[in-house]
Amino acid sequence: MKIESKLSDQTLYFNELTVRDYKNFLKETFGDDVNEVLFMESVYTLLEKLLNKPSEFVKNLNVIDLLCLLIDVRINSIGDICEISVNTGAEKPLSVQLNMDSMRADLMNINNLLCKTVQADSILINFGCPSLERFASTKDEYISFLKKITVKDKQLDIHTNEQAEMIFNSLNPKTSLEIIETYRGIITLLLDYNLLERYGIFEQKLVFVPTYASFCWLVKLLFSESLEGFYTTFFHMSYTAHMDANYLESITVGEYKYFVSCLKKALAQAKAGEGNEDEEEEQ
Amino acid sequence: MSNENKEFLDLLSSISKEQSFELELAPRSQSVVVICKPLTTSQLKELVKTVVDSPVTQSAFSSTVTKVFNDSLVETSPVSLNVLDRLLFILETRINSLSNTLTIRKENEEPITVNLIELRDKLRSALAANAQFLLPKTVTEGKFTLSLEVATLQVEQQLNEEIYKNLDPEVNNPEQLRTLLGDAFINEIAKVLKSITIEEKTLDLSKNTFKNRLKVIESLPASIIQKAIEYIENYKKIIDEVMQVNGQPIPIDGTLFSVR
Repeated sequence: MKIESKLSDQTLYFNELTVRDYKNFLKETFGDDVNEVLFMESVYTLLEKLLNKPSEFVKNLNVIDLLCLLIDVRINSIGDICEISVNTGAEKPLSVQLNMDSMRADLMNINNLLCKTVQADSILINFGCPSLERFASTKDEYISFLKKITVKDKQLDIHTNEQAEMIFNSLNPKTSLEIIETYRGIITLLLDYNLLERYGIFEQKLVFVPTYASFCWLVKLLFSESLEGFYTTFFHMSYTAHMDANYLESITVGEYKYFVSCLKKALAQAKAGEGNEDEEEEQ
Repeated sequence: MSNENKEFLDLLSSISKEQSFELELAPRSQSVVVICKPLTTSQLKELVKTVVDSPVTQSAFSSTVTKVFNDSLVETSPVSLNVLDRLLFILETRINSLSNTLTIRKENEEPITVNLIELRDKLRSALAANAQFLLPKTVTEGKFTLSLEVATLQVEQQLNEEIYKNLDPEVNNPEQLRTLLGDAFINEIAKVLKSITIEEKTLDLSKNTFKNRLKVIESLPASIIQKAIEYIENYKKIIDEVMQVNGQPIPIDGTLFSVR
């Protein structure tokens, strides 16, 4: 079954996530100290498969579109709620159920905040959310946010940091300083955008500023099931529920979660039944 | 470079020509105006890079700004550019590319804001009022005749390339300091010498290396050297009197482009 994902400037359709792909993704992103480059490769590999698109296409998606895509994959496989603990200064941390649809909407709002422009006479420069590839290849972050330039009526999409630097270096310093100040303004806006505000939490902030590290952190949050937990459940599905492992890996995560819930119910009923038999025996 | 990029840079280049400004050069026998493209960010970075605490900082800045000046000319200058033209260019491009004010900050002192447009206008007026000191001059002493002119950028580049580029800036004792200062003094004199005539034989120094200029000067009598010194002092005095605020000299170096 194909699922629709509406992104900032296009609509994509992806296949459902299979258990095999989910398991591999959990393995590849396992651990606290994840190698960012390898992490990204895992994300790209997964999305290339789900979208059935070439590597170049996926790598050129901007960070927020990538996240929205992953959120859609997450919603349609694991569900639309992600539970986190937030330290509000109270005795116990507060448990918050992040709604993935709301998070997606917030990310799209953040994407709009990034779409600033700088105008200098007949030159118009557009900012936009960059792809992760662009983050990786520059030491000046503002360079990676330059998306498009229009000179008189001629427009050029900026695809690489090399192009962005060439254009930036040929601009009048007043314009280039304005670009840097606009970038700083964007970052200030993003740091003020608290994703926890809609849950009534103001003491702690959950912000998203497009960077490699924040992307990796958020993806790990979306797919935070422990590998050990997954393998334990998988084992019981084979061992206890007598389901073929190959079959289990071939079904979607949504189907798998359903079967797991069925097994849990069956086990609970069996246990309740045993409890009644024990009571009857005692009687 | 891809065709798309090249096409675009060509377009940016044509835009910069549209944003170009006129620069009236320092007074000469006839007024000369050149057209300059605005400073680019890349050029600004090169200028700021010269802000290094080193004895050769000034020569690094001079070389860099000369290159920027030459690169900015829409067409080749019809006259040989000199250090005064460059100073006018520095002020004009600073006003166009960053802002028309400069804030000078010194430790334990109140910051001073300089209006660069007023400064530029004051400099132009001073140069115009003292134009006679800026024209080429001939001085004679006995058999020697020197032809003098305001130091051209070409001669200064020669000095930077031949001498300052390979200079060891370390001064470890007073003797080395004396030598360094003495050399710098002679270099300044050598910059304004255009030609030397002894009796009827003329040596055009513009066709010689800078080191050869120095050799020639070493053999000249002190009395004629003194006239060259006076020539230099006359035009430098004009600049020094204008380029100051509250008794403090306004720095003409990379810091001019690293602050607003």
